[in-house]
Amino acid sequence: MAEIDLRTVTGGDRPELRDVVQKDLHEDEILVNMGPQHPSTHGVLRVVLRLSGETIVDAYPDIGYLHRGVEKIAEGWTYPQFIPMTDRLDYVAAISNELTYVLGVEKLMGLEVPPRAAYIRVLMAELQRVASHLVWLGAFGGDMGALTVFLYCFREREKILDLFEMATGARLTYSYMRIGGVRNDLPPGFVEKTRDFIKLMRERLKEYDALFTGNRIFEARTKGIGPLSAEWAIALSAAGPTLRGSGVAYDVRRAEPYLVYDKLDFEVPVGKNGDTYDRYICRIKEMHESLKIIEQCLDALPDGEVMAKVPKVIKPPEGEIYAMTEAPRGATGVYIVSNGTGNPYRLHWRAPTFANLQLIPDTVRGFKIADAVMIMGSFDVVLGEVDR
Amino acid sequence: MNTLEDIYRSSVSFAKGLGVTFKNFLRKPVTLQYPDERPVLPVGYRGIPALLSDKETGKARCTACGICARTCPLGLIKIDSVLGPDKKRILNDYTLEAGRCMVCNLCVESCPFDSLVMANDYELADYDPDKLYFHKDRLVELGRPYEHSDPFHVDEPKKAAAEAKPAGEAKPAGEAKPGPGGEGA
Amino acid sequence: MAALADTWQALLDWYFALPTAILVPIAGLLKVLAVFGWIVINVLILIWLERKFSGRLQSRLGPMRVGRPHGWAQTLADTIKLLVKEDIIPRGVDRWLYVIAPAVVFTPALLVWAVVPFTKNWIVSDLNVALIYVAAAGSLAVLGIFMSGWGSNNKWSLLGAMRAAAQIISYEVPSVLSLMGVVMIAGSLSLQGIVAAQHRVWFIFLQPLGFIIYLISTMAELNRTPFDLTEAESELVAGFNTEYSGLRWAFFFLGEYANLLAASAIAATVFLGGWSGPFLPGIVWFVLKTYFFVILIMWIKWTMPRIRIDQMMEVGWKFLIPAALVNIAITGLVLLVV
Repeated sequence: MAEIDLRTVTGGDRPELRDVVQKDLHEDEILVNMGPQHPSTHGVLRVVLRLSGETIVDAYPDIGYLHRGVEKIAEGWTYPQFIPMTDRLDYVAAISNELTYVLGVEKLMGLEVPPRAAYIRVLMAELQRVASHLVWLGAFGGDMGALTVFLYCFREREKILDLFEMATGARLTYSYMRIGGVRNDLPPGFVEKTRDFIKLMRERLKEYDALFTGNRIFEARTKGIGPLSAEWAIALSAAGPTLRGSGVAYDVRRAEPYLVYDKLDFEVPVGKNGDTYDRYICRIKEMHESLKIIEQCLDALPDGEVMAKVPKVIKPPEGEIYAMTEAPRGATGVYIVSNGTGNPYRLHWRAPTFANLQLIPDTVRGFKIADAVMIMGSFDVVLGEVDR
Repeated sequence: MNTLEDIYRSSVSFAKGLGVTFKNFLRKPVTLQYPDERPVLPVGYRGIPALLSDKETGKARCTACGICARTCPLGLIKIDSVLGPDKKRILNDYTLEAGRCMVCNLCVESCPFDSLVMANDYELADYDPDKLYFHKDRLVELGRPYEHSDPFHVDEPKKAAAEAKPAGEAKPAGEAKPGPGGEGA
Repeated sequence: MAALADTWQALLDWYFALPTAILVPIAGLLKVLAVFGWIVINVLILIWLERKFSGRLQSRLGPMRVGRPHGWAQTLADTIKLLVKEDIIPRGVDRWLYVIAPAVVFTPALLVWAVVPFTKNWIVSDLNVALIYVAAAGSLAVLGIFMSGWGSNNKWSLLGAMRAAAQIISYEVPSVLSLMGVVMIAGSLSLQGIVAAQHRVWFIFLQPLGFIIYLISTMAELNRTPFDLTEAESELVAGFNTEYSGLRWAFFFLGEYANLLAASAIAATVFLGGWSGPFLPGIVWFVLKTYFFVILIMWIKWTMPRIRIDQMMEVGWKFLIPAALVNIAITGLVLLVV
């Protein structure tokens, strides 16, 4: 029989990782590869766990399995050409990425979008937020073995995707935002369908509540699990519901309002303990707030053009810019350096989940494997965005 | 006492959960039996870029100007043309590498002659990768049911309607009929 | 028709004329085959039922394609697929343990059926210590699970096996204790005796607490969500059966559903009066009651999130066992007074 050392991770690992994970390995401990192919790492995240029985002694996240060199690609493409590529960063919330990028370019060019376009953008971004949180909630339930919720969430998300399909012609990679506005106006019937959806969604959110929020097992599995202090969250520049779950009321939509967010009435839900449960509650409440925002947008939707006057060839003036939006996973930023040509000289993407990923070792330490799955799930990591 | 309360609370929460799943049991399933039933595609669905043709002559409207080829982020469009006698370019072939197309709509928007459209067809897979290079004839065929590159076609009819005010007729031209594409039907 | 009946009669006569030394083994073999057939047919139905039922709970249709209407042949197709799959034995496994583990998991599910009364007369063996036998047979499965987890030479499998050992052993205790109340009232350990004792009122009404404890601990022993920690897909990939495929995996699967069926049958017999019931023949009542439990367990499975290992041990030792003991004490007191 082949000799296989059960205690360590084997294979052609990079020496720097291999040496780190095997350093001072106690004889009661084993190393386990969680991922890159594991049912609950949502993509190709690999975490090397150092286990003592079921308890996690330490965790070492290893990323880069989905690296496509998006930032380098941007340097070879013109500004409008890069829009479809942003869809492929955080593929669960494509619209939010597009929005970040076009806002960056517009800021660089000093463009003002027409009011109707601004409202449509906010409307779409918030619909996307609900859709993205639904994916998260479903996957979170799946991590916990409650597969039924997963299917319920996807059923409702399908309704949002139908709306997106109606407006943009696609279900996942929308390519809808344009520098200076949006590609096309809302199709006839869109507003009514969205209102119907809001009504339905509010009812369905109550059902999720009944399945999760009060459920004794759910509470036992989430309350007090993976606590994250506010100081630590800020220190590691956590973003989105992960940050707000720890009680930091920072939301880019509030802190640095873009588009029409300063005219809209919504709350920024925050948690108290920073545990998995608070992060869950934050996202659920955010869905409610997003529905509120969508309603306000539908009410206030002005008439008019959806595209500003934009030159045929987009050549922003020399300079550099950082633009930030609140994507479903948190503050997403784009840093663009322009040298006055049609291509960005340098483009950097600030991915919120990349920052959140750093929290994994500190939060999972001392918990069980089952908790680690929940904690990682509660950060809502999307590897398309982390690895870029 | 705490334990009893906990038990009570747990039982209530479990009963609630079971109630929700039971409620959903009674609901109609949302599954679409795909090859048997087909989704109703909305107007403006993006399936694959196709060439629009002149309704009378049946020839592609494309003038071989090459803007779409330059706009495509992946450079999937190849245009083969010759200079005609009247100094106009004549389109020989128009090739789209459909296997890599990400259907971003940039080519359609860039076309100044309204000669590209997003066709609704989606069952375009093939066993032979070479067949995923769509040539002019195929693209013209795919674009045959459509008249305008803008699926909602709001610009001119809306303006015309606003000027002439014949109330009911300002509807967007129903060119993009929902339903399956020509492929499988 | 008459000729056929005559032939049948002749066959029976010939059979009963055989010497006992031959007759008994043949009868035993026939019974085993009958039980095996019953299990296989029911498992096929159960798998289909679970997929359809969970589908409906989740707003889906479940299998629809293979065998219309409603994909009735899906399980058959899956079985054939599993049978013809390559038999993979990974490098580095403990071959002996790895190979026999699926059989060890499946056999106890078969053993339980030896004492389950289908009707008044249909029973393989009316053992006088049937309940003890059921508990003993049921807890054998953990051996197989542990063998597979250890033998697979996979860390996830090993973790799953460790969990299984802890879980099944600790839930065996409340499961047996919860049945003791019933035994005290019925005054018999034989399942026929327990059915007979329920001719006036079902034990579910006399032993509600015992019933709930039994249901919970049975679900834990069956490894069904909220207690499916041994395979816990999202945590342990597939737990103890991570390395298994094809026919061996099919045996695990078969064992899981056979266990579900067996546990439901025991529950129906002990708490719902088994085959006894008005109007309909006994076997119909038996099947109806068994499937009632099957559906109930499935319904809970597809609603609840999974519990954590330490919490599960806590529920078992700190809540279920004391509650079961209290149940026994109350039952004893009431019996003493009445």
